[in-house]
Amino acid sequence: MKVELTANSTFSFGTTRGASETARFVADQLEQGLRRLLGSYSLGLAPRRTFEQLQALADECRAPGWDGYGALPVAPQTVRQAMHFSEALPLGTAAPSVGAEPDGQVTLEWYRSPRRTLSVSISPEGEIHYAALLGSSKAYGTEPFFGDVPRVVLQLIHRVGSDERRNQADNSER
Amino acid sequence: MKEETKPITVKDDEWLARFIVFRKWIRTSDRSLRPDAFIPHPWPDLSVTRHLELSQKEMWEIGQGIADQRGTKLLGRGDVQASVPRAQRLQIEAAPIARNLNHANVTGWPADKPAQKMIAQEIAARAFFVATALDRGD
Repeated sequence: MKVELTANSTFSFGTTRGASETARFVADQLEQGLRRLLGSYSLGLAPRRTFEQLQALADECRAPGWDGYGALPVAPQTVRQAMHFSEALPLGTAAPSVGAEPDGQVTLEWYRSPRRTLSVSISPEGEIHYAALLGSSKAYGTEPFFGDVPRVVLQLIHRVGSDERRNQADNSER
Repeated sequence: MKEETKPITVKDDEWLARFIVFRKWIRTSDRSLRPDAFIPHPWPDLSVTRHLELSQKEMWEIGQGIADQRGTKLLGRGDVQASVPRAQRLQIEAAPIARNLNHANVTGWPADKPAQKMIAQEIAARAFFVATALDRGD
């Protein structure tokens, strides 16, 4: 099946739905694809949203104890590192959501479900700590950040976003 | 609620609460909690409240006390059974304090950050977010 996207359809979710189950499935798939496209880095909208979230985070977490339990403030240097990291994400990467940990590190999260999620912490020194749950498997570690997103992190972002059932079906057909 | 009646040993099926005052710890997509909420700081302990013998009202009063100290709004709490951190080889120690006799610490965390994050992920995946009535809009 070949689906053509026009400029109008790319920015509109008002797709016409057919009556059959197949038509509805195609329309749903198209809509999900469009939403992923709009949420990705490729159109330049997601980085802007991430930067806005980081700026808001810096304001909200600048005083100690922002979590009610004695958290350290999120330092401007940490926010800058997180912005550099976000800028280094390749085009087409799904946009993360922004958060913070009580030790003052900024977190970027890619989340699909409670057991399909990746959290990346960014320290003021530019260290990247990551932990991912991928079904029954897990991955965690530390990587330095020198301007390029570590390959292992990119692979984990991709794995969180990929459809595991489809992958399993693909594997079983091979 | 009498202090002398509180058992020191925390049973596996006991529920523990982590109060939430920071909105970004709650995922907007499904109202679940991010692992950030369960990172121990100041390390090495994670501060929690045992549900043991508390009414809902008493539980929320303790949470409100935490929010008041910060001068912010209580959003809710993350509930998790004691067996969940224990499955990650952590210990739970009753640590009553004057304003919260049900206070406990989750201890035994590894020193390195990625290992802490991995454990926090496991706890968050099994935790339930309970919003305050105010935050639910009731």
